Amino acid sequence: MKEEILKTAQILLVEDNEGDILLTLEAFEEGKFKTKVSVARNGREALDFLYKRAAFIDAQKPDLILLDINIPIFNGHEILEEIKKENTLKKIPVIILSTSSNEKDIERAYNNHCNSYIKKPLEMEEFINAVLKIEEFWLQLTTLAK
Amino acid sequence: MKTKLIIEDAEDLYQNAPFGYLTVQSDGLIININSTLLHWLGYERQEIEFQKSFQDLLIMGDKIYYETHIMPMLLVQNEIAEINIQLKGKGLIRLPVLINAKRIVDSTNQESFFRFSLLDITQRRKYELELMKARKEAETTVQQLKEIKQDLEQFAYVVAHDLKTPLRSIKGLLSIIKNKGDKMDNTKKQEYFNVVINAADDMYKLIDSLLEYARTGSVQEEMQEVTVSGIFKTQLNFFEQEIKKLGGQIETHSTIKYITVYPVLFQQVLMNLISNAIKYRSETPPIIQVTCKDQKGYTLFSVTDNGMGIPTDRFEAVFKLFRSLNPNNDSNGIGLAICKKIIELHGGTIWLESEIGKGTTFYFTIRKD
Repeated sequence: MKEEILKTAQILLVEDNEGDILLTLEAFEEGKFKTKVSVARNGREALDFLYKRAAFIDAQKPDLILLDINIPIFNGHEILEEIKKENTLKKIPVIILSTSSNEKDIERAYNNHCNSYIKKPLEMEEFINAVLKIEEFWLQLTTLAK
Repeated sequence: MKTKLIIEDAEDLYQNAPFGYLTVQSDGLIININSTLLHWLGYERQEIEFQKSFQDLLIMGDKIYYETHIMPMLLVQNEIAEINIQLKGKGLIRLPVLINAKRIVDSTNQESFFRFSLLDITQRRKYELELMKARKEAETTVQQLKEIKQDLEQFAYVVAHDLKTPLRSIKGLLSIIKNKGDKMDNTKKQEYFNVVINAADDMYKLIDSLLEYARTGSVQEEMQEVTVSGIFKTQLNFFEQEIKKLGGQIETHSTIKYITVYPVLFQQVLMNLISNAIKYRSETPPIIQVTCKDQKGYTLFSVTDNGMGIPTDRFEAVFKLFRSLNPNNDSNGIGLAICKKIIELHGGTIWLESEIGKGTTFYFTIRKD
């Protein structure tokens, strides 16, 4: 247990909104775990990171992925599908963090085996709080596959 | 006292009652008619009695109804009540009436006669028509109100949602800068300020778009008859060069000469659809076809491209405010919402068919009247 806490958790944040990126980074900084958050700003960057291609050759496999749906090039649904189809990636928990409250988006995400779907809170404090809760639940309470 | 008795005798009660009366044989021949009904219909007694049958006083539809329903019912049930038909009087006189009828059997030869009483319902008819008209108007108003309500709900959603996203960034980042104060290094602070400024710019853009959407259709423009070829020519002049530069082509085809539209708004629809076709092109040069043809009371337009296509689950969402499929593609997310609003102003609908990687066709109709 102690060892796990000491280990730095690798987090991949797939998000194109600069404000949300900074807020998420701040939240993780405020959290009680050692985390390293890498940011992919569109679908292509996300896939490059996961497959250690192009600018992300040295990327580390993430322990947790936070994924927005409405992002350029490939959208979040396509990225999620890819992750859950790929044997080496599918055990990584994928948390959808989206502004969409559209039923179709939610259903599609769960059908594609997202690990949880969280609507981005509109208020700043709640947003930070949501990120902290994600961190606590997935990095402390949950035992992840190695 | 004596005069009163004369007026109230049976014959006078029959002839001058505030009701129309007539008696017919089973073949419909009128053998008796009262003065009131003659007066209503504008006929003389000798023109009717033993001259015309009841069917002669009916318009075609009611004649059939008389023969297939009224008479058979009378023969089976011996009486009928409150049947609504229209009588044809002399010249243009038309009289809506409610009829009651009763079968009478002559005890000497067992022959059947039928007595009809007829109530003039001209006034009632007028009220009914007025009521129906008022009801229809009310229904239309309710429908309009529903649409306005939906519009408002979407508007409110957009304001609540899309405006709060940049606002969250602004408030969030400023709070962080404030709380950290001097602990924050200058480069980072500058970065945060830039994001805050960009978020504020986003809000300006959103508000401008919202205003543009809200204003669409509220500016008074007269409906005008214009030629389709003229409309198409304007579009070609605007887009042809850009499309040729990309190595593509645009074609127009119409089987219709004239349409009646709000010209400026209508041009805006085509302009939005064609520029979308260019913006969301695939790797291959854009090939765009614009057509116009007749479709049962409507004119049907289509704009077809060979672009990237739209996923099926977004066919409806694309017409909603700020539901652009491609954030950051310098799309403000209101183009198609405005198209929808304009097409609805023309009494039409807009929809699309699309296949990913093959292309999209937008269809829209406008009402002819």
